[in-house]
Amino acid sequence: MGNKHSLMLQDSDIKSIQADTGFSASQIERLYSRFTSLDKGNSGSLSREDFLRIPELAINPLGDRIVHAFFQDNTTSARRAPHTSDCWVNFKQFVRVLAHFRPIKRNQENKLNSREEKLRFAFKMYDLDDDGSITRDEVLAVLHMMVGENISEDQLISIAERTMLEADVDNNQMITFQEFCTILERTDVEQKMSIKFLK
Amino acid sequence: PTTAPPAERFPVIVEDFERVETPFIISLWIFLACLGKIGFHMTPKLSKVFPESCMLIVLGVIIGLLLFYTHAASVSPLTADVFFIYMLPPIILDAGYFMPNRLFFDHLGTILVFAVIGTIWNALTIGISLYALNLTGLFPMEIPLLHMLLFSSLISAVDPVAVLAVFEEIHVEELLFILVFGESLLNDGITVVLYHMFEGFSHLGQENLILQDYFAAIASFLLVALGGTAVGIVWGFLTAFVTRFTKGVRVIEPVFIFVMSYLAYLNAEIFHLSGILSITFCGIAMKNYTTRNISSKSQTTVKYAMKMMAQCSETIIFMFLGVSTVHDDHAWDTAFVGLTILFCSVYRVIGTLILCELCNIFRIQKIDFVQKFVISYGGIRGAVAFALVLTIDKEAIPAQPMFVTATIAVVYFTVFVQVRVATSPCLCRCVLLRHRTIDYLMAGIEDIMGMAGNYYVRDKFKRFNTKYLEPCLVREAESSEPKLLETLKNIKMEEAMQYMKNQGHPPEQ
Repeated sequence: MGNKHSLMLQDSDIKSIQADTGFSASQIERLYSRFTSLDKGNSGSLSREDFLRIPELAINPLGDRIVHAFFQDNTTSARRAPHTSDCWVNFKQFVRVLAHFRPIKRNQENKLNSREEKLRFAFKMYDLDDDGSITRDEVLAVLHMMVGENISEDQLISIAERTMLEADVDNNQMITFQEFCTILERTDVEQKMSIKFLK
Repeated sequence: PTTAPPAERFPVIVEDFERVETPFIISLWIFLACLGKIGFHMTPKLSKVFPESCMLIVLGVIIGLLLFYTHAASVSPLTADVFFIYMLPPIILDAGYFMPNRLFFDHLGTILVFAVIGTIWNALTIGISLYALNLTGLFPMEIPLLHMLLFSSLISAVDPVAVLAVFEEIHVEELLFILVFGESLLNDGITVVLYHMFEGFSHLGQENLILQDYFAAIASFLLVALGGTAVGIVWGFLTAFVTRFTKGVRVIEPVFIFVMSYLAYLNAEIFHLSGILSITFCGIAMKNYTTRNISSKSQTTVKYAMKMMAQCSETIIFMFLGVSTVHDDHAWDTAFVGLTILFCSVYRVIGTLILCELCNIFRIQKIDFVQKFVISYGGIRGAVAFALVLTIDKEAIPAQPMFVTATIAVVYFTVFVQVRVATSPCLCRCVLLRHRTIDYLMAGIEDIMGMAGNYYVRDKFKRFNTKYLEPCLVREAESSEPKLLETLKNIKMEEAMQYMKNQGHPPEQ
């Protein structure tokens, strides 16, 4: 396949991505080669279809949500740059999302991979309508995605209700991000949501 | 005239001790050990200062002294066979069956590094250092290198019994627990191989060794470790399969679990594979399936019976260790004992530091300084070393008494000299519901990045499991998320129990 010369990664790009995400130059190059191999149309950006062509991701129950997260992050930055189209992810955005999963190192702070950002990403998996809170129905919907056919609706509802009961501290039938953080307080999110990126 | 002997009348009472001697003595041992345990826990001051294992050893020594000076019996009850065939399996099964699988496999890489490289490192450095010092004529007799390595290989293995006994009591955090504990379980493979290897080499004689022998040794290591594991996994799946059909006969469910895992152990031991690895993995492999097949009452039975047997075994081992200390043919040599202890501790620390640095390169969650310290301190030697040293043939290896004495000294040193580190692990119930989301999320991200990481492998195994294994091994495969349902069930059960309890109280009048 090879990289098209027009899509080559410039040194200045690497520098700015490095500053933005905290990846090393060789990590960025590695991710770039992955990016280009996913980019079947050689357009320099990825569509939803490009993502869902990854076979494992297509059968991952949360596959849709994960892909969605890439685009949703895109739209938040689109508020700043309104010209960016909603249905494509360019390399910079691609790397920005992945940067959430960098392991946290003590002496090098980066806002993208902080504990809070990691939690926010997990929160997005549940928050289907992106309104900043999780309702009982959203919990139920995620459970539906993850659980096979042969579990009864009643049981699922009961699990969802149980989750709400445990998480929804102020009893307003919604889990806010704050409450979400509270229940995960004792979980080792730093460890669980980090990937060892190859150099 | 010879008179007929007086006709025997029907006796009111007869004494026939021989007939019941063995079971009687065994029961008495267990009884005494448990009494000691109760006594220990009734004195809160004592139990705060000493770990229980120390008390049991002291009790053992006292009994040993009594037996020795009254000449009541000149037995040292801890023989290698009794230990390996009857006392070790319950403890290891308990450990394997209740192993936090998730945690174990998350840190498997690090555990393997410690268990394999760490043990080889310890064995070689201790053995060679002692041999080098021996050349200067420091010790009373000349010991060939191979004999020294035989000794160092058995002394360098961390003992699962002692580690469990001590670490369960002091509640270290879960990462530390799984690292030290996993190491102690898995290094058995290495120890057994090194031991048999150097024993074989000693028989052959140093000058007769050729290159082929070394390769055979390496091959035998792979066979012992992997073979033991494989035997265990096969038996584990078999157990799961059998319990699939026990719906009509609930009472024999625990029997299958105990007997089949014991068979796994013995089956591995027949071929001199690692029995410890075998029974550990048998426990790990069957657990997920058996818990879903057997009734909740059987589960409780399995749990308590397993814990009880393990506790009894552990108690008796420590006591026997004490009793067996008291005997005639000790060959105390201050220099040898002192240096062994010194080398054991020093090389453990150095090895831990190096290996931690090595692992930290690859780990997300780094091992910090305090943890390194606790890991090196967790290098407790115990009854496995003692049982192994007893099996050394005194004819072939003249330094055996010296080895026995040194081993006992090292065991005492490591069991008695310990620090108390307390941080308790905590697990929130409902969080479990969320863990799986994070797993799926991480597997998805790894797929996007196109790399085969931890989550990728877990995801693949889970798929394979739900598709092929569970339909065979589980009676009613409920869903792809059995853990979710199980959590819910547990929560509900707990609530119901709580409710019943509150209701059960007689209303206040």
